[in-house]
Amino acid sequence: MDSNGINPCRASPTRWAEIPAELLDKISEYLPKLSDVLPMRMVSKHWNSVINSALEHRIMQQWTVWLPFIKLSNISHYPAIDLSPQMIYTWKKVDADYGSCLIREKDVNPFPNNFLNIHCIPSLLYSLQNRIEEKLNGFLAWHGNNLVSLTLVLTEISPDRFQKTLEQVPNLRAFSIAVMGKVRDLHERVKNTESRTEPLQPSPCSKLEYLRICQGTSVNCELIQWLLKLLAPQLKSLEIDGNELPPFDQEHYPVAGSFQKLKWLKIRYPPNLNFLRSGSAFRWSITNLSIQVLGPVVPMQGLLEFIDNFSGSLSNLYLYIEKFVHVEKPEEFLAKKASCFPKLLTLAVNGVGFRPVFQFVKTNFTPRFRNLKTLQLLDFQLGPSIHYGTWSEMLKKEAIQYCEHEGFWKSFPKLQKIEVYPIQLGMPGKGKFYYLQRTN
Amino acid sequence: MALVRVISSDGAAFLVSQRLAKRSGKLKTEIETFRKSSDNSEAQPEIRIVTIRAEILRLVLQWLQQHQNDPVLPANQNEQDGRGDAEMGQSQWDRDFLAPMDLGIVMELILAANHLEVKGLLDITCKLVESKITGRTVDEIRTAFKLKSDFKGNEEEQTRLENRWCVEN
Repeated sequence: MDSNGINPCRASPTRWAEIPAELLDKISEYLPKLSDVLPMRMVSKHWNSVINSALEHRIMQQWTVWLPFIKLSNISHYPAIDLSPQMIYTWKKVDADYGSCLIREKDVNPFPNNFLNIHCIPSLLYSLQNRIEEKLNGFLAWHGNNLVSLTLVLTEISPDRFQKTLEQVPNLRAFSIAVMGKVRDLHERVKNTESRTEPLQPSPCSKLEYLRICQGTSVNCELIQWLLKLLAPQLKSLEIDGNELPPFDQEHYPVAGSFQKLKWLKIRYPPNLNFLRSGSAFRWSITNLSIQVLGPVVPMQGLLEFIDNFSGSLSNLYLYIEKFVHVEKPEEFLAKKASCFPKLLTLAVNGVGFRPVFQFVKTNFTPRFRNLKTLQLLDFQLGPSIHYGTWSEMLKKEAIQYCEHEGFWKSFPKLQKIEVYPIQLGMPGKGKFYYLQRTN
Repeated sequence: MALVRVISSDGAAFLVSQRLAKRSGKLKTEIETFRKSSDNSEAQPEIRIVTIRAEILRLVLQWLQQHQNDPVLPANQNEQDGRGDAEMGQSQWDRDFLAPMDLGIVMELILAANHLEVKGLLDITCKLVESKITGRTVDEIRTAFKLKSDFKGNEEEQTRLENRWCVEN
C-alpha cells in the first residue's frame, strides 16, 4: 500500500466504461446545460448511474450550498409535472407521457433522480381543483416515498390535501412551496378546519431539513404558521419570501425545541417591528443569516435587536436593505446591547458610498465585529449617477481607494479580504467581484 | 536547487525541482511529510506514485513545467484580484499539448491530475472531454469514447422517456 492506502496492484482503469464515478461526475460539472448532460445517462448503465447521482447532487446543491440571497425564480427542479388546466383538459397527453414514463408500476421508482417539481397554475373551477388534487394524490400515493426534494407551485391547496401531501413524502429532505392565488378561500378553509390548524406530532416527514416558503404575490399567514409550527424543531435551513412571518415567540411556536437545529435563516421582504422584536425566547444556533428588504422601510433599531439574538453563533451575516429608519438614540442602544459577535467571520452589506445604510451598519456593528475576516461590499457604487456597465480598471482603482479611505483594515483588525461587488455586475455566489487582501 | 525523485507505477524515476513538484497538491503534501519525518534536512525525498505510469507522469510534469509561473488558480473562477485578471483561458500551448492525444490518454491524464491535485490540468482535460460530449448524440458519444450499450430490454427506451420528461416541462 502507498501512503494513501491505495493498493499498488490495482491498475488504473484505462477504458471510459470504467471511469470512476467521481471523475465522470466532475466532467459533468463542465456541462452546464441539462440537455447536454442527459444524453450521458443513455450511454451505459455505469454512466447512467453516475449521472443520476450527479444530477441529484447538482439539484441538492441549491439547498446545501449557502447562497445568501433568495432566488427570485423558483428552485429549479427536474423533472416536472404540469397539472395546470390545459394539461388536465388534454388528459390524453398526460396519460401518454406519464403513463408510459412515470406511472409504470406501484413499487418502481419512476424518477431519474429523486426530485420533482409539481406546478399547477391557475385553476379557476372548483371541480377542476378537485380533479387536480385527485391526480396529485394518486401520483404521490404511489411514488411520493421516493422523493428527496419536492417543489410545489400551486394555485391553492386544501388543508386536507396539504397534510396528505406531507404524509406521502416521508423521505423528503428539501421542500419548496409556493401557494399563489385564492388566498381568502384558503385563509377561511384553514381557519375553519380546526383539526388541521394544529400540526401533527410527530412530523410526518421527519427527514425534512430544508424548507423554502415562497408566497408570490399573496399572503397566507395561517399556512406558514401551520407549517412552521410543525417543522420548527427539525429544520436546518429556512427561507421565507413573504411579508407575514409570524413572530418568533412561544405563542406561535409552543413545541419544545423549536428552531434548535436551525443553522441558516433567509428572510426576504420581512418584517414589521413586532416580528423584529421577537426571538429572544429561543436558544438559537444560527450561523448564517440573510435579510433582504427591497422596498418597505425597515426600522433599523428592531433589525439590530433581531440580529443580536444570534450574536453567539453567527458566522455569516448578509444585509441587503434599501430603506431604513434610524435608531433614535444609537448610543443608548449600543450601551444596552453590548453583545459582541465572536464567531462572525463574514459580513456582506449593500449601500456602499453615497448610500446611508452601510454607514449606519458600520457605526452600529463595527465595534462588535472584532474577528471579521471577510467584508463583502455589495452594489458598489460611489455616486447615484455612476453605473458600472462593464468591468474596468477605473472601477478597480475606485474600489481600492474607497477601502483605504474608509479605513476597513484598521476597523476590523483581523480582516483578511475585502470583496467588492460592483452594482449590476455581481453578488456573492455569482457574477464578478474584486478582492483586496491585507498587505501589512 | 532542492530536488525530489518521483517514481511512476512502472518504475521510471523523474528528478524534478521541489518548487515545481509543489505545484501539485499531492506532491507538496508528500514533500512536507517527508521533511517532518526526516532527520536530515538535506535528504532528497522520493515519492512513489503507484497509480500513474511513466508516460502519463511525464506528461503531467511537462504540463507543470510549462505552467510553473502561472498564478495559482483561485477556487472561485469569477474572482479577480486587485493586481489584474488571472489567466483563466486555455493557452495555445495547452491546445497543442492535448491535440495529439486520444481519449484513452486523456482519461489517464484526468485521473492523474485528480490524484496529484493539479487543478489547471484537470480543468483543461475535463473541458476537452466536455467538448466531445456537448451537442453530440448518444451514438456519437459512444463512438468517441469506444463504449457499447449494456442496457437490457426496454431500459434504454425508458431512459430516453425519462430524459424527455426532464427537459419537456
